[in-house]
Formats: sequence, C-alpha cells, structure tokens
Amino acid sequence: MTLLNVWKSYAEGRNVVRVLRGVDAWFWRGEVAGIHGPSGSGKTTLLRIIAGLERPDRGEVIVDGYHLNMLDEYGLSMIRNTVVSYIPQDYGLVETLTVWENVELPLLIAGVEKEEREAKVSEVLEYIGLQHRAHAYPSRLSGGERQRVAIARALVTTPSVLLADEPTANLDWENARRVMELFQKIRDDFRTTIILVTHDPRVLEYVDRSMSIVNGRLKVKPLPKQ
Amino acid sequence: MGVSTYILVRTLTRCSGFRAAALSSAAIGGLLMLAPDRLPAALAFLLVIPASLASIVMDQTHYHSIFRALRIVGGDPRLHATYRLGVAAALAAIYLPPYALVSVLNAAAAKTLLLAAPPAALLITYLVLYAIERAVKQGWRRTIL
Repeated sequence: MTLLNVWKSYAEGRNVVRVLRGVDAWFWRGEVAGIHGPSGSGKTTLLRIIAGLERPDRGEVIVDGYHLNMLDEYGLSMIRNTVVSYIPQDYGLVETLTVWENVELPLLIAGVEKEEREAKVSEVLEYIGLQHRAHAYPSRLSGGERQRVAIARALVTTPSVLLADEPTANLDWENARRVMELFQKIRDDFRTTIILVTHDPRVLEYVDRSMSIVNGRLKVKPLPKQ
Repeated sequence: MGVSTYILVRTLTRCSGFRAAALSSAAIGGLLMLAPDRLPAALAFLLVIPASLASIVMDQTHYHSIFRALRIVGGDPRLHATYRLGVAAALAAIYLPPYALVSVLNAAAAKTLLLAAPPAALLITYLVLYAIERAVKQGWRRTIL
C-alpha cells in the first residue's frame, strides 16, 4: 500500500487548515504499523483517506493495486466492503442490531448467501471469543467487548488492510493490551496489514513499525533489521 | 430481502422512537374514533406535533448512526437512499392512517383542522418538521463543538 504526496486541507471559517502536507508512506503486507502524534495532527484524516472515506486534495493513494483517486463513490464503497476495513474510535456499531447482526452487515452488503454468512459470522465470533455474546445488543457490552465486535465486523470479509483509529483510547490498559495482542494474532494468522493511529506510546510496543505525524508530515522510522 | 429492508425492519421493531410514534399515533386515532368531535381533534392536534417532532429527532439519531455504520462497512449511496426512502415510508405508514380515519369519520373537524388535511398537506407538515429538526440539530452541534 502506497501514499504518494498526499495533501489535505479544511476550511475553518476564512482560514484554511492544512492537515496533511505531502505525506509519502509505504506499508508492507502483514505488518502492524502504528502512527503516533498529538491531537489534531492529522492522524485520523490520514486513516480516513486510506479507507476511502475522505478524498485527498492532491496525491495518490494505492491500496492493494487500486488507485483510490480513480474510483467513484460506488468504487470506494466496494473497496471498503472487500479490501479495507476501518474501525472508528467509537466503534461505529449499530445499536439496534445485535452483535451477530452487526458482524453480518458487511456480508449482507456483499450479497453473500445465508449459509455462508452464518458460517463466517460464527467463525469470526469464535475467533474473537465472543460467540457467547452473539445475541446481545452493543449497549449491553463492555468497552473491550464492543471493540472486539468492531474488530470482528472488520475481519469478517477478510480484508487485506485493517485500519483502527485510537483502538485503545476508551479501554483500560489490561483490555488495551488484549486488543493489541489480538491485532498481532490477526497479522500472524491472516497476513493482514494493520495500521493504527494512537496517542498512547505504550501501544507502540506492540507494532512492527512506528511513524509519527508532526505538522502534517509523516516521519517514517526504518524497518528493524531482520 | 434487501439490506435496507433487513436493517429497517430490525430498527423499526427495536427503536423506541418509532414505537412511541406508532403508539401515540394509534392512540390519537383511537381517541378520535371514539369521539369524533372538535375537542379530541384539537387535543390531538396539540399533542401530535410535539410528539412527531420528538420521535423524528430520536429517529434522526438512529439515521445517522446507521448511515455511518453502513458507509464504514461498504454501503454505497444507493443503499443509503433506499434506506432513507424506507424510513420515510414507514413514518408515513405510522402517521397517515389515523389522519385518513379522522377525515372519513369527522367531516366537520376535517374542514377546520389541519389534522384532517389531505396527505399532501401532511407531507408538507412532515417536511417542515424535518427542516426544523435539522436546524435544531445543527444548532446543537455548533453549540456543543
């Protein structure tokens, strides 16, 4: 996955705030990358651009061979459904659907047959350790469980890239540690590229490569020697 | 079954806003059936507007969380449009029958009160309420942020 000279700015009244200033980055298949930076540094914007939820003003984003700039809204929807999964900070679960139904949602959109859907949802809930909570509503779950449901929903379509926005921000350290270990397990089991943004330096101990955003520019640390 | 229908049916049956709207609408319809004169119609008129507004505001919260979730997991703009249409149809199904009943049973009240207005007028009322609600929510958002 590649980002080439990505720029993004927002209008705030009469001012223009430049959030990203020519970001270049490469991510390798099957790595856990952590992007670190203070609030308002553009971490979430960068993640949303990779997910195709926002478009850059300039620059190119290439995910799994797809040039996101060349896709219309329908194309980007297809990418989010099959190639890239995004987990927002507040998990983005539908409160009126059960855990099972929330996890099933991407498969319904993809038009997967009922038998296959049931098998996949059951499998991913077992993998994530939440089968016993399948019929609970999100409001009945703890923060850690909600996060795991969001991960299950992101994982059910077996995407190439998994993006997580502050995945540990609403969790105590014990739950945060478990979530980070789960990400490492997903990387090992599925060779999924995982990119997470965080302001918690402890989380970076669990990533393969860390980067930092300062003033809209990404500073990439080199890969550790094998 | 389409994804929109699937989510809509589950949301409608589990969303307190829709349930409240359906119940209040049915209660008002029942009241007007029992005593089809001007007083209950007027009462209904006084009750139904805030009740509608409250339920629409509550429904909007569900709207936004569902749209957001759908977008994240790959729902395309067509799916969003279908869902919005489905919600509008459900709201119409909840609100319109009591009004139609009133207009049939109570011709006198029908002439004097908006309650018994034809569906087009009710649709306009709904759109006005929707616009008010949007404006209120925008105001809240600005205040909060």
